[in-house]
Amino acid sequence: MKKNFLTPNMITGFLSVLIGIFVIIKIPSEIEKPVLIFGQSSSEIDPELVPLIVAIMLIIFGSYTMIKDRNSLISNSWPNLTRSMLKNVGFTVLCLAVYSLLFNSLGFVLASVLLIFILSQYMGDVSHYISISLAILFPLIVFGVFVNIMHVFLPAFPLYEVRIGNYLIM
Amino acid sequence: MLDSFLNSFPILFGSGNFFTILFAVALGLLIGLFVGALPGLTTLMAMAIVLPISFFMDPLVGIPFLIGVYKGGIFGGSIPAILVSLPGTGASVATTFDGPPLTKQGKGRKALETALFSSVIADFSSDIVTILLIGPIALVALLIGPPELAAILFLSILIISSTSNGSVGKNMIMLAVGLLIALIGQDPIAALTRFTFDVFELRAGIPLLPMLIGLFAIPEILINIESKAKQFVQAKLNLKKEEQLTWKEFLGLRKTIFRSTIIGTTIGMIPGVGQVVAAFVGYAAAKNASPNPEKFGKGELEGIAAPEAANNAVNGPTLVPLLTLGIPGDNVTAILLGAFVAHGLRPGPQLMTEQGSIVFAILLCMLLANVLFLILGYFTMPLFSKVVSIKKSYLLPLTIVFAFAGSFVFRHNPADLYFLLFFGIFGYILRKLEFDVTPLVMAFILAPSLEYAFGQTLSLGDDGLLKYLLLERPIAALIICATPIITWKLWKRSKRLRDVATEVTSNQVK
Amino acid sequence: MKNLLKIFIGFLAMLSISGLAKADYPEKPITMVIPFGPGGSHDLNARVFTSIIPQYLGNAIIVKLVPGASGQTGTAMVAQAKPDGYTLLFTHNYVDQLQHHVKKLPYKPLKDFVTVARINYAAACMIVLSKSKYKSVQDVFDTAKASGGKMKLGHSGMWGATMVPMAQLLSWGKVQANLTPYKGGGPMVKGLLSGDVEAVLHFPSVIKGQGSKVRTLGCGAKEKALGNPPTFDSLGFTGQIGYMDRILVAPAKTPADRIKKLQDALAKLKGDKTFKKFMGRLGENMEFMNGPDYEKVRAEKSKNYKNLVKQMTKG
Repeated sequence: MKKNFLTPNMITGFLSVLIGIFVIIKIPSEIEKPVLIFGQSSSEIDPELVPLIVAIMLIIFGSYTMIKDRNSLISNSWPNLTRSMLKNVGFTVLCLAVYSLLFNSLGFVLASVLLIFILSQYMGDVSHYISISLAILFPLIVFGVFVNIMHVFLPAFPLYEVRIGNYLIM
Repeated sequence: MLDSFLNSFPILFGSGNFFTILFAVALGLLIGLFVGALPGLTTLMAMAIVLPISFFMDPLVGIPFLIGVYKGGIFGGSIPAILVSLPGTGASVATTFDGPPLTKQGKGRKALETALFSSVIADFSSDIVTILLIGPIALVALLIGPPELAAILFLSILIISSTSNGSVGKNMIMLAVGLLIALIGQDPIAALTRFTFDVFELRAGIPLLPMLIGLFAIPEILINIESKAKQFVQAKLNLKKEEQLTWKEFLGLRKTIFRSTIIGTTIGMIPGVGQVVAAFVGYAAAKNASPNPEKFGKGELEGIAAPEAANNAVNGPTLVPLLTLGIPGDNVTAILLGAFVAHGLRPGPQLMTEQGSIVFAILLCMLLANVLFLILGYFTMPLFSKVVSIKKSYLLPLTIVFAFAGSFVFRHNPADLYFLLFFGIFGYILRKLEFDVTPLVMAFILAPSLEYAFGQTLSLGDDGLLKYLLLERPIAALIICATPIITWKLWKRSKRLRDVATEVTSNQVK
Repeated sequence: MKNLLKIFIGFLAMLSISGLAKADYPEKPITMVIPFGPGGSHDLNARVFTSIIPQYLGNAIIVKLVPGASGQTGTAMVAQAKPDGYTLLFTHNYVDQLQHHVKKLPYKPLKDFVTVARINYAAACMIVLSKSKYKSVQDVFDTAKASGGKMKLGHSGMWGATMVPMAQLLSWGKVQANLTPYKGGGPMVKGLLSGDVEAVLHFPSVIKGQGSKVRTLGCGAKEKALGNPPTFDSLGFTGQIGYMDRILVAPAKTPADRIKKLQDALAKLKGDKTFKKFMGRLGENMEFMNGPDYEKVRAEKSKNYKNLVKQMTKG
């Protein structure tokens, strides 16, 4: 049985140690100092305690994984990624990123219409009519229920408030 | 107290209001179910929104109405968890382990029914225990203070981490990462910023629900998208006939449900722990006690019954501190307190002595709510499970929109979508590298409470911590001593399983 | 049957809240941000007055809960919102006038917000267990001094509504004590009941529910319902110690006529019978104060808090 050096566990262990070291370096600058009240610290536990524990854990267990579990047989295999899988996932993630941006700038309804239509077309085996109808109906219904009935908020179309009566629909 | 209890029956059944009460409870259950099924809409929010309506009702109608919303909501979160791996609440995360695999096998309805029956039975049992033991439970609530809570939370984290899949090192790394993520924001005690890198949006910390949806729902969606439409045609053939839960399967679950009920009821008695922990501990305990633990996570009915029963069993005892001491333990009980107060009833020792029968009448309504829920649920579950029978090419984009809407609505914070995306990608990578995310989630959820309780303990024991623990808090001291023993035993068992798994894999390689 | 009808009407009312008749401001529902979590006293007070105000204002006020970072997240959200009168903030004096002395904030509360009105206030009282030996605030001080600052007192959150008055009292009495934090009023009262801490400050509406289990040693204001314990003022601690003012504020640049409309509606609310009934049940008063009057109080309190913080943190 071949013993590899660069196994997934090796890499994740190494990353873990790196993050641990990063945390330790950043502790002094990123943690607000507790204010003294009546001479005693306002915080019973030093806010630096838990970050320190975390960093030490990361380093210890990262090293443990690197050394002991390097050639472990369970949960130590490279993920099975084919080119087409990466393409699909990559495209979807790109869509999601753009969706997040549009969600806030164009409003929930418009962004969702685009997302549903584009993704369902991309995934294939769909009828164009159903794609479009779902793309338009679903966001409108979700928006209507969340905003008008549940009284929670979703981003509306920023340029003009589309209302029917006093109900916001987009 | 006994005559208060006996007097509650005529109040409830004889007042002529009975059917109105039933209707209100049923309505509450449906609203709660609906809201719980919508991710991002917490039961808390739903209760806060319908609170004003309950103001204008009779207290015996308004308060059971709110309780109905609460119970419906707890269960509601499990529906998207089982069907599309979208945890509606923190408590339904453990249901995403075995739920989606079952749905993929065409057993979605079976899974939903398992969840329904487990939840109702556990809830009903814990409500009975609450009614019978309301005094002792109140006593327990008073005995559990910060030191006990800290010890219990610490033990819970260890229990849950040591029963996770995979290698010890990787699980502990996940635990540490979970703690690290929990650190970002303000420290629980003095609100000092930690690791916010001067980004104001990070001051409130990483939001829970977007993170959970990102870690559990998005990877599931991405994994489904990996293979596009070709695979989906085959999947559709499986869903011809929806399988229902058979009586035999149900009986097989009774030990699990019983165990989880006890776990949930006990955790419910301890103020400050909560349903999420109950669900995870229930799952871990079931896995630990099972002769085939490797089946968990692949579509095992016990994997649904265990967390569902546990998280519902928490409901009953949670109300005890509110009803007997007037102390709300969490936000939900705080809203119930508000409802009581708005009706002119001040929960607390005074209420128990002066109007104890009303309190018991409300508790009886809770029992009724469970029965009603069983009936309502049984008829609505098939409707829900039909949802996932639409084509994956439509279902996945719709789920994504749903997930994003839910994440946004959680805090009304635009930044949460970016958190969602980040944790989605992170969760996908972790999945591919075969990390078990459970320790991460547990650490994230429990770390702030643990740190807070620990800080409180240090403050209370300012005059010498060891002396304080040994002399004044024997329960905490006991739990601390028991912790290494319990952890050792669990670790040994999971090591045995790991060795077996390694054996099996190496045989396959050969 | 009557109850059934009530439920139905309530439900329809909730659904149609957005469907009320149009007028000029407010033409659409107003969003009121509460920078705290659900279930708190702010939430409850808000739910009561938002369910009654539509008839006086002409449109609804919808509560938006934005908890996080001790109130900073919600406050920042309103500070950055469009000052058109459709986004308001319902907060309290400690977040508004004290927080900026102890935390670096991306907004300036006194400059970026203008008070619409003080809806009411709640005055905290000091309570101990009835079976304890403390019969007056001075007893507590004496014990604190005798214990060398180790006496255990509780509060419900750093720089919060029960901690600041406690600190003020301790500094008046020139004593120190061990302050243990609790996550909110509920756990804090539990800590008192279990005997983990000896005294806490809390609000009368909650104290009443504990009945004879607790003894009230002193209050920020006159509390007939609790048996008229001595007020802090009468004991020599002046300056509205223990007062939590629930204030409705708007972004500073909001047009003055819109603010006036809100103030008029709120003033009319005071006379509403249902409002009075529910506030009575909640145990809250209705001590309304107009925006301009409160602005003066606001500036002065901010100065007082600044001095308090300076004194407390110099060690």
